Amino acid sequence: MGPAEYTIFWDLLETWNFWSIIVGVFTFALLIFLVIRFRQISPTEESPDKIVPGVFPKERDNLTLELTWFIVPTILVLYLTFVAWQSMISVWVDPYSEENDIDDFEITMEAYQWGWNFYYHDDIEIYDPETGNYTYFVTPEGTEIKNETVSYDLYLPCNKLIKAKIRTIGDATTAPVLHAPFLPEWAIKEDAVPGLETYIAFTPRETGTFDLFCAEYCGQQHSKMMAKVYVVGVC
Amino acid sequence: MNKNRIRVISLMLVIFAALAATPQITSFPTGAGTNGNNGCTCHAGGAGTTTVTVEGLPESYVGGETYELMLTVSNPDIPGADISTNMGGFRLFASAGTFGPGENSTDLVQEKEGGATHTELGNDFRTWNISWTAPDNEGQIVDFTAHGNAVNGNAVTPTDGKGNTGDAWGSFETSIPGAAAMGGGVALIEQAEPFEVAIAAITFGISLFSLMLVYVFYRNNPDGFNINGLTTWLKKWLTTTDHKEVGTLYFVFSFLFLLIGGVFAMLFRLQLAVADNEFLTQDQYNSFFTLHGTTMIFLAAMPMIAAFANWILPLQIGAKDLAFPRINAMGFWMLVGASVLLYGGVLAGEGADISWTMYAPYSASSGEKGASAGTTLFIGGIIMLGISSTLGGVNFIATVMTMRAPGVTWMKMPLFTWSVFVANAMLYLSLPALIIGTLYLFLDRTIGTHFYDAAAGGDPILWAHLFWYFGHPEVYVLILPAFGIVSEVLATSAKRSIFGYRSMVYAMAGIGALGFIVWGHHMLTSGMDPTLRLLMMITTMLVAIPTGVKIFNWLATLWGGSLVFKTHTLWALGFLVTFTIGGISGMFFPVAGLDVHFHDTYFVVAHFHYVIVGGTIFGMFSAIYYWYPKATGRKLDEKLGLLHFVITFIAMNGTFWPMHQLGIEGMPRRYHTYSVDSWTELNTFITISAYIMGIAQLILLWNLIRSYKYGEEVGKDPWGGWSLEWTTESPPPTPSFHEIPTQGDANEHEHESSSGGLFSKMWKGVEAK
Ligand code: HEM
Ligand SMILES: [Cu+2]
Ligand SMILES: [Cu+2]
Repeated sequence: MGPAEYTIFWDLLETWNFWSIIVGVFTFALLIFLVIRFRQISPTEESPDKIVPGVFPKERDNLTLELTWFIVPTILVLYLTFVAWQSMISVWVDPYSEENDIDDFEITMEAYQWGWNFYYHDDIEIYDPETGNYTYFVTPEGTEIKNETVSYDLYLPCNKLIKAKIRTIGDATTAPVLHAPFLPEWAIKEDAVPGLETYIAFTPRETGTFDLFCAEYCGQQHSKMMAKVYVVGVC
Repeated sequence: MNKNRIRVISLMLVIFAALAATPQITSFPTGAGTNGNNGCTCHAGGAGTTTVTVEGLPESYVGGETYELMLTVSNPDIPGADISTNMGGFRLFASAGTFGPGENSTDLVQEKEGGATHTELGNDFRTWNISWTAPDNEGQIVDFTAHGNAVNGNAVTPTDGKGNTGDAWGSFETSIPGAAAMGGGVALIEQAEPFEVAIAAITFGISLFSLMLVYVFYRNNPDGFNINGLTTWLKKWLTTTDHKEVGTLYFVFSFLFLLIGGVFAMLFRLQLAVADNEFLTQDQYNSFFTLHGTTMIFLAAMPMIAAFANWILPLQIGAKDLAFPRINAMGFWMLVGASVLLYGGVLAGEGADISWTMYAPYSASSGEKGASAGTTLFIGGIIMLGISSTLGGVNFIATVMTMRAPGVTWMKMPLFTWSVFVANAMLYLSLPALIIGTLYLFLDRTIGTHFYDAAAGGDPILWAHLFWYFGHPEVYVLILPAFGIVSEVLATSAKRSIFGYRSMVYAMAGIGALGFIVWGHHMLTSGMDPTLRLLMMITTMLVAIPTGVKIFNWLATLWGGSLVFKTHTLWALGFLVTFTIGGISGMFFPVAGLDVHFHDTYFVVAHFHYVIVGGTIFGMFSAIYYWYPKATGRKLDEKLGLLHFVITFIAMNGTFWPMHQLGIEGMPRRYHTYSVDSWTELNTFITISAYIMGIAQLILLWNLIRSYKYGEEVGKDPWGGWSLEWTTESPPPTPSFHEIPTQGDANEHEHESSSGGLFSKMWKGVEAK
């Protein structure tokens, strides 16, 4: 379970798990060693530092050691920051910029208390091998997914960059509050903010049925604010 | 000009230069109101005038019975008479039971994800027949929500991609009890109203607590056990300004709320134990997790820190009392007032449901779908908490700056005192943001200002900035005192002096400074400017460095010592394990590609429980066992302590470790329930562990009460600590020292260069010994 295998999420998680385990194992092994090696054997053992109540004890430090555990983590952190930086570019690059003007599929996700409307600005065309024609994809409710339709569940084509604008509605019946479409399959989310248009972009590479959750607490039925995502067509 | 003035001026210049260099960063890149002014009007036309009705619902349902319902949408502004197609649509949900098409409606109505909706053909109507089959369990209350749309005949015609213009939505809500829930039914445990359970538990707790007070009073002086004696005794506690007594008040208060916050956790863990559970209603769940978080942070952890700061800090620096005893007492009683405000809503059945982060605009909203009525009181309570903490902060800062005994210089101050000082300085600098933010919120809710309302030109992200500008320093306010305690406990238990005292202080100061420029890492998916996101990612990564320095200094402290395993030692070692895990998982968030998945999932919940329970609370428990003898003159029972530690440590990991996995699988936090069956197993395991952990805390309670009378008596310095609190009697007299003590210094006769410490060595180079 979890995000799809082809997402950048897993690459990063693996790197971070790797370093976490190294740091964790090193720290805990050291801790266990110290606790066992330097436990009190007999209660009469004298303190090497001669602790006396009311007297600030002898200071102990070791510049080399302290610099080591200042510099080594710093290098690790800088390295990890460098790796993280690249993911920032791929996650937050503006999908509407010119260089991203590739074969894409544009939609608008509209959040309200408590549900979703998905507006399509492109068509999902399905190739019919018998007739040799392309037809619009039709949902079980009978809606054709094409430019200018709306649906309550989300239908997406495979292998296209999905560019989704995110917005909220708020009026007399639903308060304008924060929401956040969260697509665990592609490990991505972004808040829907009243008065602001935000966006996400991702590329599905497998067909199937996936979840969409609301991840920003938005009131009573926050936990019911879900939709299904159907990736259709051929990959 | 003297040197100081030059320094101040050059510092100001640097700050101005930094400010001037940053104008391209705006928190809200496109400005508020883009949609409100010219954008989407869909689903807004005619709003408010559409009415939705559902007929045919019984007063109370019979389990398994099928009911025929009729849903009607009407709107006087868009009469259906002149339209024949595309007249309307609807969506109907119920919290239990199943839907299907009603009489003659198989083509027009369909079941969808547990609710009912119209089909494509069904668009041409304003009335639909729907059938609803009641659930078998008659012991619950079923909530119905219907959304209806009176369309003006337009087909789906998005104009310039902005959506349909012809919609007018309205909604309808009702609740129907099952026959058994109507009263008179069989009393199953399931049917107990969780609100009543919570309130009963709290009332029961408070009664027990009062009984305990009366008992303590009785034991104090069995002969004077009469009402006069009681009032004098109570009056003494209500009006005390002695730092030790106020500290005791803080402690008792925080422990009580630790247990109350635990009761909420127990209730909502039961709700989360299995998928699709309906033990709590959504409203109850929402206000329970809100109260849980707020209670644990503001009414349990912070006051417990304040308790030890009150008790121990003056003793450690050799002061007879705090600098402002009355302000101190006032801070505590404001806290009591604040807790009443925070809980006012719950006791009235309308608890605040805005989460501990209180995100606007939801927290500013009201009405049917807005925040519940108790929210206004709650916000009032938060303002009062802010004031209380400010008063406390002033007091500690002033005390440390002015009341140190001879010999207690800045660089010879015990680390616990240092940590409280840094924490309160941070608190003092960050609280104004919270207070201003909550004041805005309070005004929005009460007199109709629009600070957070985008439609009126307000800024909906402003709250998040203000809150986290306070909130991130706040999490360090919570952890720093625990750092201080662990430093003291580990050094004492290993019979050594702390390794790298100076770098410990610098690390704390470094965390204190860095802590102010990382708040944006809580908002990486909030639509904030990418420049600011990048900045906050980098600074957040850097926080790990001083934290790492501290961990290795603690480990080095153990080197060459002879470690004794007292209960407080165990807690400190436990802290090293769990806090390190929490610190490592914190490093996963500043990574964009990970945070866009992890944010607001159970991974975050796992992380902050590891740092707050495994860090702050474990630190506080260590402090309880360490300083209880100082406060009462008796030790806590070590056997019970060992039992308490072992159970809590294992159960804590059992509770919070699996949450990492749930987060990776994408389980969102603040969810009343979930429908993914594969999450049930881990959640059941978590719930069981949580109960074990909750119940284990009663061992501590029992230990605290029992040892007060029967614990082993101790002298001035039972553990072999060096700082000044161990030179006065246990319990200390009032005022806390007969005369101001003088702190000695074992480094006095060392020659110059080695007492110069890390930095002077770095300049001069290390001298051969
Ligand atoms: C190595 C040090 C740490 C790092 C790098 C770190 C990082 C983070 C980040 C980036 C988040 C936001 C996650 C998200 O919502 O997407 C977070 C959440 C949180 N952290 Fe930490 N953290 C650290 C230590 C601490 C400590 C010491 C505490 C408290 C004692 C703490 C308490 C919290 C809390 C309470 C939250 C959740 C806030 C909420 O309700 O959303 N963290 N941490
Ligand atoms: Cu939500
Ligand atoms: Cu933070």
